[in-house]
Amino acid sequence: MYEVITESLRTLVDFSDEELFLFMQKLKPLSLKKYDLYLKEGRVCNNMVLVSKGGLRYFSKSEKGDHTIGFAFEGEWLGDYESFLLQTPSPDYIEALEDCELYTLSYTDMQTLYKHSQRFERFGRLMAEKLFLATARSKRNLMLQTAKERYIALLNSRPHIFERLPQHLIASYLGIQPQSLSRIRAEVGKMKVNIG
Amino acid sequence: MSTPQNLTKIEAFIRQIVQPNAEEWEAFANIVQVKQLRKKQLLLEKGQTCNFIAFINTGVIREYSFQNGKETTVDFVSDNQFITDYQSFIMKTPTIQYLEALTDVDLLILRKEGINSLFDKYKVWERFGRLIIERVFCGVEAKRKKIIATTHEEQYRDFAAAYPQIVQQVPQYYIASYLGVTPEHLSRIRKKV
Repeated sequence: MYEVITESLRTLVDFSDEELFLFMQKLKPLSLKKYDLYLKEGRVCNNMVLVSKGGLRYFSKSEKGDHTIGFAFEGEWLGDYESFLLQTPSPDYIEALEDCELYTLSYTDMQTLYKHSQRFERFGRLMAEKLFLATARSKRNLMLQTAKERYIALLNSRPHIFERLPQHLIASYLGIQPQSLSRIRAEVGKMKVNIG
Repeated sequence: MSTPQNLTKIEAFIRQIVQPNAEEWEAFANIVQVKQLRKKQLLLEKGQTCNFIAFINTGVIREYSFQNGKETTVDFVSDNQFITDYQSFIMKTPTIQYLEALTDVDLLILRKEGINSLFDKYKVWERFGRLIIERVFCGVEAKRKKIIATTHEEQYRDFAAAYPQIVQQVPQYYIASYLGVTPEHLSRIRKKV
């Protein structure tokens, strides 16, 4: 797992061995059972979480029903980054989809790393840029794409999700009903047969 | 070196966020360019790659783009604010945005090469860059979450238009479940629609 982390960090910034070691020291292990809540409404997201084994779901519940906003599986980070940055209460929830082995990185430790060296500042900037691009793209797609286009985009970008998640959660993530998802899957399935 | 008058606003803005020393500030001041726009001039248009971040000293700029063939105003930006297309700037891809001066505008321009050289040489400017993009992220994230809330209203509207007799005859909690919202949220949507 350490190699996965160090490799993913090094693709963003040219960290020294000393800096990587410092980063690893700040990661704290955490185990969750299926359905445990990592984050809930009203709590500040004080730690970003990195999935070593298992899967997490990020959703909103307050006045919107149960709307799935995102997921993270092995090697992926998750958290309410807005709550983390602003140190304000999150309106959202993060739950374990299965038993999980996780690592957490606290806001305080992140600030310490930023003070330590310029490369950590650059890492923080590049992470925020990545998250900005993802949320801006997601915002635009929500307004412009049809559900079928969002399904195809998901199929292309994160195909493994379909093996890990039940249909009703994928439907929720796409903002549609399970019946609509079945219909779209059948249509897209036919499209592929016609092409292939 | 004392600050030229047209840098006083941007310096005040920056010093709320980071504290550059004299050398660091001078390095920043050296990459700043001054620009004026007349009313109706475009700072940026669709197809260009945005290679600058601008700061408005005085004036108002309108951000707009064409969505589904319709001109849609995205935002208004005025004194003491930064303005750019961050997606185009970060990804080096063509923009879909227009930035139009609604008044005469006095601007400061920071070009990408200058910004990158500050990032490379000075930790304080890397930090400033991080804190700015974090703010921008939070702004867009809040808007995205709001759109998700609005989508349920549209779903209800479509459903009510297609199946008016069902809406009249079926208990609310069935409809709420069908739409994937809580009954309380459906009540709120129905009041709005």
